[in-house]
Amino acid sequence: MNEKNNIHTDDEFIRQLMQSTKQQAPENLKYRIMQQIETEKSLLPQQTKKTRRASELLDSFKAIFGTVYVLLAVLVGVAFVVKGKGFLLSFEFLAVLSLIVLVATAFWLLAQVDYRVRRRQE
Amino acid sequence: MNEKQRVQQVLSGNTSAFGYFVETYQDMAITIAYRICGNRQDAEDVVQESFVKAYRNLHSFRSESKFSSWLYRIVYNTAVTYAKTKVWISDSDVELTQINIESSDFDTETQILAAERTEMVQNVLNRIPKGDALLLTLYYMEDNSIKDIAKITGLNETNVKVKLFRARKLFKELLVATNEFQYA
Repeated sequence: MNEKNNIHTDDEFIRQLMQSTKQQAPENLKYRIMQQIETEKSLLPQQTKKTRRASELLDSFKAIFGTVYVLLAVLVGVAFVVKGKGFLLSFEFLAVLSLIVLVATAFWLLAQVDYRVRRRQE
Repeated sequence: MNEKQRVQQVLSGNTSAFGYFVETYQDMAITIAYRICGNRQDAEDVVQESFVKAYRNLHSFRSESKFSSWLYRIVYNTAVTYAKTKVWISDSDVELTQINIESSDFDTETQILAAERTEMVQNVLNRIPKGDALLLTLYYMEDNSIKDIAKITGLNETNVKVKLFRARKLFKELLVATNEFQYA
């Protein structure tokens, strides 16, 4: 019991001593920290915009060409079932596929031009 | 407004709300950094870097833990990296340090005044191993639990208890060793 009390007194005494050695931050430290944070924050939106632009381009690319290749796969499947293997290599069929890809590419390019024009206006 | 709400405020874009955390924890942060770096200038740089890191990574703060523990962990890691120092030393090294300190010369004529006492305690803390001084600071200055100290330092709880016991013992011995200090 006595030993426990001693430990408690020791702890209290050390606590008092330690409290006296607490370092004080200089007056301007908070200002320096907040200044650095504000500066970094003001630089951050540009980086976000760049990332967003890259991701928007990729998204539209995936959306348009994803749809096109699904469409082509369906067309190839239907042509194979209805007309047979020989038709798949015919000029007419390849021309149709090429046309679809060309239209999709043109559509994607137009979408990009439109996006860039809108961004410039912003 | 509690700390969780303040964290949410900062995360929603109110940067100035982070000022509360700087204001509240800067003194303790600088004390921790000072224990590891050993000088004020480095400690200030470490604290500035730590708060900026904390701001950048605030989204990763889990509100079930104490903000102070999370922040002090960042301060501890930054200080250790910055100072490129070994905080935790082996038992044999401690013994050597102890011998050196015990033979060190304290001014026996000085009166026990509050300022002198502070200076002497600071002196003792500067002389004991950095890890020990850090543990005493965390445990006695802010009443951090053993669990919190383990989180901050990355040691396990048993290790913290053992090291804290040893640090306390060494600290007391050094104080008693100074003739002018009438311990307890």
